[in-house]
Amino acid sequence: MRLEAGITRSGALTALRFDNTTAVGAYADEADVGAAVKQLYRCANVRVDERGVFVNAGKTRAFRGPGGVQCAWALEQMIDELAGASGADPVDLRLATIAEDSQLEGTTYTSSGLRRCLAEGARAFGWAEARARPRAAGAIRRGVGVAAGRWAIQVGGPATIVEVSLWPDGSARVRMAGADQGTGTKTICATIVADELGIARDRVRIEHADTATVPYGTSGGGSHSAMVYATAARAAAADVQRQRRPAQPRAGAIVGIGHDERAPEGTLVCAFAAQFAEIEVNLATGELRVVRLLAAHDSGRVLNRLAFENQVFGGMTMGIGFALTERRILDAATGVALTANLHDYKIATALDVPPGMTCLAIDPGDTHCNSLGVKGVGEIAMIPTAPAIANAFAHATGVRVRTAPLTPRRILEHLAGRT
Amino acid sequence: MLPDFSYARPTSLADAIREASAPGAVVHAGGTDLLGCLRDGVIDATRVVSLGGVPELRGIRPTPSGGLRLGALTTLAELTEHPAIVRDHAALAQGAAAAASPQLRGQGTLGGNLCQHVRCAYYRGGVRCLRRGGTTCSAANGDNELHAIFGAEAGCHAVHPSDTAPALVALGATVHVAGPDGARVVDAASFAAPLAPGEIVVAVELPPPGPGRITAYRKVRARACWDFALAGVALAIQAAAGRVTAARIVLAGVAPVAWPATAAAAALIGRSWPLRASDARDVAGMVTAGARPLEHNAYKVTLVSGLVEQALVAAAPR
Repeated sequence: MRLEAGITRSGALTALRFDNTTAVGAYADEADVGAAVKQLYRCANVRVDERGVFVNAGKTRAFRGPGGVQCAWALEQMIDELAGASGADPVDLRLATIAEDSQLEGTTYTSSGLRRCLAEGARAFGWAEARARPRAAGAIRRGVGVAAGRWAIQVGGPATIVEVSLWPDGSARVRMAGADQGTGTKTICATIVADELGIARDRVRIEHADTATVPYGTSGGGSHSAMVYATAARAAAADVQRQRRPAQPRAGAIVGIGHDERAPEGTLVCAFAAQFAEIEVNLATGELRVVRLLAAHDSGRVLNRLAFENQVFGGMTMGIGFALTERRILDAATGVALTANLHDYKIATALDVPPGMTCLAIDPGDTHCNSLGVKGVGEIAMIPTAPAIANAFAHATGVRVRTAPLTPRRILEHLAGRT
Repeated sequence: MLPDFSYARPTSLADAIREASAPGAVVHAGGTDLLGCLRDGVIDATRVVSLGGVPELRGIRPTPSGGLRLGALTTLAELTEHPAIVRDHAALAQGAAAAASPQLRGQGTLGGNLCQHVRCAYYRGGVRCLRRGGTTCSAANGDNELHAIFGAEAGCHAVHPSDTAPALVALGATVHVAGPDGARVVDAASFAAPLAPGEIVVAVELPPPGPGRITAYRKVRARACWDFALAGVALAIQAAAGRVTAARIVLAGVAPVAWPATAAAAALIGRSWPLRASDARDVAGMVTAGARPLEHNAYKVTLVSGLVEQALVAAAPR
C-alpha cells in the first residue's frame, strides 16, 4: 500500500492518493481495500488505484473486516501524521475532517454517528488529559492513540425469509437459515419474536442453519446478519399477530412469514467507530503491552448488549493480534508456510488483552436503514484497533511504524533507525 | 497424522530403559512435545514408552547437602509453586512459569522441557534441513528472525527452546541420566539432547543456594502467553559486604544451547552491590560480544543487552 496526502496549514485535506497491490494467491480475486480512503474524510481530490496479483500461494480469503483493516492501518496512521504536521490534535483533526455523509455521488448514508463516536469516545477515554501527559524519561514509555473506521453493510441477492409458528400452547418456533457463528443472531431473533408476540423469550425455540428445513436466507457475513434476520423475524412475528383473533379456537398453529428489510435505493447503511488505545512500550526490549482500549461504536440500535460487547471486544482482540503478532510467513525460496499452526501464527491470548476494555454504544436513531434502526457490528469492531495501537506507539516514542505487526523485532529496528 | 505405534508402560526404571532401548522406541513423559512431533512427522516411532509408571522419576526431595533433587517427571506447574524452589531457586520457578501456557505447564515435565525438539519452522514444517538429513540449514538463508546469534557454527541455527535450561545452568544444576550402560551425571551447561538410545533423564539436582544468592529469570516474547523466548536471561548473583562475589548470566533464545555469558558474568565480580546503573549497562554491553547475527535477527543483539541490563537492575534488592 502506498498513501499520499496533502493538508493545508488550516487543516483542510487537499489530496488523498492510495495505491494498493494485493497478493491474491493463485486464483482470481480482486483487491478491494481503499473504500475508506474514498469515504471516511472530506477531501477535494481522491484517487484510489488497486490491483490484485497472482502469487504461488493459497487464495486470499475474508478475515474479519477484509480490506477495511488494512486500509485503516494506512489511512488512520496518515491522518495522525497529518495532525502532527499541521499541529492539530488527532481527535480534533478527525472531528473537523470526517465526512458525515457518503462521498460517492448519488448515495447518502442512512445515518452517521461517527462524530459522536469520536467526541463521546474521547471524553470517556480521558483523551485530552492522557494526550497532554509529558513523555516519561527512562525505558518504559506510555502513549495514547485514536483511529476511526467505517464499514458499509450491504445485502444482495434474494430476500431472506423467516418463518414463525405460534403454537396453541403459547410457544413459538422460529425457522431461519442464519447460522449464528457465535454472534448472537439466535438470541436477538428470539428476543424480537417474543417481544412481538407478547410471550416470554424462553418460550421461543429456534430452528436454524439446516437447509433441509429452513426457508432461504443469506449467509452470515459482511456484518449484515443482525439487520437481515432481526427485520425478517420481526416481520414474520408481525404476520402471526395479524392472523391472531381473540376468539380463535386453540387448535392448530398460526404461521407467519416475513422477509428482511432493505434500505432505500441510493442509500448506504454504514457502521462507524472510533477506538482509543493506551500502550506501554519498553524501549530496551521492544516489548509492547496494550494497557487499555475504549471503543465507541455506531452500529445503530443495539439489540443485545452482551452480544454487542462480545463482538466489539472480540474484534478488538483480533485487532491486537493484527497490530502485534499475527503474520503469515511463507519461505521465499520454497513457498513453505512457516506459520502453519496456531502456535507459530500468533493470535492474541487472554494475557494480551488489556484488563480495561470498554465499549460505548452510540445510537444515532436511524429511521431510514430499517424499522428497527439496526445496522451491524461484526467487521467494524476490528477495523480501528490496530492503527489506534500504532498511533499510540508513535505518541509514546515519536517513531512511526508502517508495517504490521509491531513485534519486538520491528520495534527495536525502528527505534534504532534500521529500517 | 500420528504414526501407528505400540505402547508400553513399564513400572521400574530398569524396565523403562530396556523398553526405550528397542529400535523405534521413544519415551513419553508429559507428551506435550512428543505428540506434536509425531503428528507433524518430525520424528517417527513404532513404540511409545510411557514413563508415567516409573516411581524413580517422581518427587521433589531435599538432598543431604542442602540442595534439591527434582524428579524428571516434575511438571512445570509444580516447579512454579514449590515453596523451596520459589524461595531458594527463584530463577527456575520463574523460568517454568514463563514457559508455554497454563495447560501445557500442567502437563509438561522438567525432563521433557530439557529434551524438547527445537521449534524452527523449517525443521517442524517438513523441510529437509540440516537437522533432517539435508545439507544446509534452511533458516541460515531463509526466515531467521527467531534464530541463533551465538554458537551456531555447527550449522543448525535453531535456538534451544527451553526456559528452564538457562535457569538450571545459572543455578549450577546437574542432570542425572540413566541408560543401558549405567548412570551418568552431567552439568546442566553441558547437557545435550538427543540422548543415546535407551537413555532417560531421571532427575535434576540443584546444589544448595549459598547465603544471600539472588536468582531470577526474565523472558521477552512477542505474545504474553504460549510463546517461546525471543530472548531470555537467567541470573544468579551472590554478594558479600556490598560487592558481587559470584555471578552467572545465562541467555535463552539466542543459541542452540542455554548460552552462558561467561565474560560478562566474570566482569560482575567485585562490582558494588546493588549494582550502579552504569555498571549494569557496562556488563550488559558485554553479553553480545561474539554475536553473529543473521539477515533477520540483528535485533536480538540489541534486545539481549537491553534485557540483561534491565534484569540486572531488577535483581538488586531495594
